[in-house]
Amino acid sequence: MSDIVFINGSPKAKDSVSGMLIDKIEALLQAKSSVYQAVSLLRNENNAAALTEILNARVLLIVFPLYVDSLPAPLIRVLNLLEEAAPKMAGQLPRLYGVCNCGFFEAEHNRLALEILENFAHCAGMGWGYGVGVGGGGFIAAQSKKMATGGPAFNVYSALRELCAAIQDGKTRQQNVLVRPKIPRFLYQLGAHFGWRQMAKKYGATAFLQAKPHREV
Amino acid sequence: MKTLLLCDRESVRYDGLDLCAQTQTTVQKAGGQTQTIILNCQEIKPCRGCFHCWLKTPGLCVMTDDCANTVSRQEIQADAVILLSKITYGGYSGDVKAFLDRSIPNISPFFELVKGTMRHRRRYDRFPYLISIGYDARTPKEQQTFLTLAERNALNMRPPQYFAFTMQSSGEVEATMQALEDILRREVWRP
Repeated sequence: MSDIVFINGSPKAKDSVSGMLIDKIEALLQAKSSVYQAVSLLRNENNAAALTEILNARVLLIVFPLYVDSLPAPLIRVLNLLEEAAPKMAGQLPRLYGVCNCGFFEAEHNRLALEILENFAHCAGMGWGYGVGVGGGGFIAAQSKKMATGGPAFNVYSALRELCAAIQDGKTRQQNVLVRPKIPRFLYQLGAHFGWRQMAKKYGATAFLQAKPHREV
Repeated sequence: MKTLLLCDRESVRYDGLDLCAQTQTTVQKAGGQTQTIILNCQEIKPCRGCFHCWLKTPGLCVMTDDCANTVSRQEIQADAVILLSKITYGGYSGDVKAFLDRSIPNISPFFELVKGTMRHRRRYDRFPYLISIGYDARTPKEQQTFLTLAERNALNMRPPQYFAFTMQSSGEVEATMQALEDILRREVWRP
C-alpha cells in the first residue's frame, strides 16, 4: 500500500498541467506513491482494488484542472465512488489535499473548486489538509523545466514545496493557498491570444475563430 | 418563450417525486414551452481539453458521436436554460457537469476583463437566462457553495439575469416551484 496516492483529475490523456504538477510534487516528496487517472478509474469496472488502495493511503492528493468553475465531470464521478466505498474501510481514511490549476490569470478562480473538494472530504469522512489554487496554467506549462530554480513561476514551485512539507509533517491549514506566476496580466493575455492564433493557423481556422454555428437564422 | 430544461437522472426519482416533471409543469404553468433533456454522464463523453472546439472547428466539439453539440445548439437557441441538479459536494452532479464541460464551444477562447477579472469572451451576442436549481443538499455549506457556483457560471456566460435555488429536502419542492413560477413570470417572460 502506498503512503501517498495521487488522483490526476485531468481528462487529458497526455501533456496536462495537472500531470506536470504531479511530477513536480512526486519529485519533491520522494515517497512511495501511486498515481491514478480519474478517467481510467471510471473506465475500469474492476476498480475496487484501486479504490481500496486510495482509501487506505495516509494522504490523498487530487490534482485537477478547473472545468467551468468546478471539477471535471469524471472527477466528480470518482469522488462519488470513493464516498460510496469509504464506509467499507476498516482503518482511518486518508487526509485529502488538493491542487487546482486554471488557464485564467487569477488564481482566485480556483477557490470554489477547492471548496467543493473540501465539502467532499467532509461527506466522505476524510480529513481536509488544504488546497493550492494555481492561476496562469498556460504559462506554468511552459515554465515546467525552469520553475524549480527561479523565474516568474518560482513562487508556484514554492507553494508546491510548502504543500509537500505540510503533507510530510501531517499539517493542515485553515485557508487555501492561491498563487499565480509573477508576470503582468496583460502579458499573460497577450501570450495566450498569440498561442490560440498560432494553433488556429495550424488548423487553417484563423478566419473562423468567432464562428457562431448555433445562431438561429 | 423557449425553455431548455436540463436534468440529471436522479431528478426523476427524488424522494418519491419526479422533480423533472414538476419543473416542466411549472414552466408550462408560467406560460413557457419546455424542451426537457435528461442528461446521462455515461453517454456524454468527457471533455478531453483538446481545445479543438475553439481552434479547429470553432463553436463545435470535434467529438460528434454523442448529444453534446445538439444540446449546445439548443442551449444557445433557448430563451432560458434551467439546470436541475442534485447538489454534489456543493457543485453539479456528474450528469449535469458532463454536459457543462462539453458546452465550452459556446464561448470564445479569447479573454477579456469583466469587473477586473479575466473571463472568456462571449461567442454569441446573447446567452439565455440561466436558472440553476439544486436539490438534496446535505449541509447549508453545500447550499452556499452551489449558490456561489451559479453566480460564477453567470459571470462567465453573462446571461441577462441568473437565478439559483437550493433545496435540502423534498419538503421544499413546493415553495421552490412557486418561486420558479414567480421569477419566470416577473423577470424572464416580462416584455
